[in-house]
Amino acid sequence: MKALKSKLATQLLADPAASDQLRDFLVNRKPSGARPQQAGAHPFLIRSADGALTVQATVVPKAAKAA
Amino acid sequence: MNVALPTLILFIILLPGFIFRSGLKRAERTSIDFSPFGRVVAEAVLWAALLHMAWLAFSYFLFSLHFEPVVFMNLLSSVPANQASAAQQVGIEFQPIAAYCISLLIASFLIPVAVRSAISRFRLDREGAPLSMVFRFHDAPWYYLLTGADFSKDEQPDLVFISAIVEVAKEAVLYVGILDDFYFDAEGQLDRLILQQVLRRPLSKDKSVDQNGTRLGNERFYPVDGDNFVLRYSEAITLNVQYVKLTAATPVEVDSPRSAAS
Repeated sequence: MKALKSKLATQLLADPAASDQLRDFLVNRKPSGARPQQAGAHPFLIRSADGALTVQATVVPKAAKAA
Repeated sequence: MNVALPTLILFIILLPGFIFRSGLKRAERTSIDFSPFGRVVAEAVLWAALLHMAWLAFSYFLFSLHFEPVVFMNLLSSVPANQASAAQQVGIEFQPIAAYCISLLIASFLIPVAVRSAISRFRLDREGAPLSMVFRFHDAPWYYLLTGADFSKDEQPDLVFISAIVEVAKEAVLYVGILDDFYFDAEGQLDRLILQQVLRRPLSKDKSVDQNGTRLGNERFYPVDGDNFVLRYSEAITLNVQYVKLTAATPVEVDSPRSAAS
């Protein structure tokens, strides 16, 4: 079964530089309880044939129950 | 050849219910359904009854065809004379009855597919949704965990980041990567995960500070070559799942090498 992966994520992973930055972000986040944890002041830059796009990554908590 | 006609009729009547029930379920196992027999039969009979009611109503309103309960009861009867007269009447009306049965069987295959995709599309099954008790696929816990189906559309993350500890040569090794795909075994247990952009490090090389007081980061990890990394769930000691949301900012104008050269 296909896992969750949006178009934007696919686009990001297709760019080697941006995917490296994402990996760095994911393995180097400060281990704190503070959530959401955002990427620092340097958002990722995705370069593709259509141009470039800046993207900010956030680790989000699991889905909250609807009211 | 003797055919137990009432049994055959009951089978034809109830078959759409069983097909509908198995099509509607989003179960992660492919082997035999071990649900209690009573529950399976009760659900199938209920679905069969609802489908027949709907189909009889269509037949009446669209083709003015009436259901003949006496003929039906005679078919199920153990009296040979009654069975014979009922069978004769079924023979006279064979075409519409055959069309009824075949269309109902096809519908019992197709309707659950449409219902299931509508439930997933409108997220009626997500935890905490008003009707989730009715629509939730209780036999598919991994589906909800690894596809983000429990998130609302606005809060939907963009990818799933996996960390797993695997014992390699009696040493615990941490693998991290982005989840691309996952597979189940016949029992519905998670079988393997396909990861991308994988990094690994021995667990012993935990986050630490070097002599200059700088926190050691990415250099603790080293990348695993290859596009798809197969992680067998049975070999993972622990599995950590994190959801990552990407927020796109405005497009950036980047000078192409050609324009920069000119």
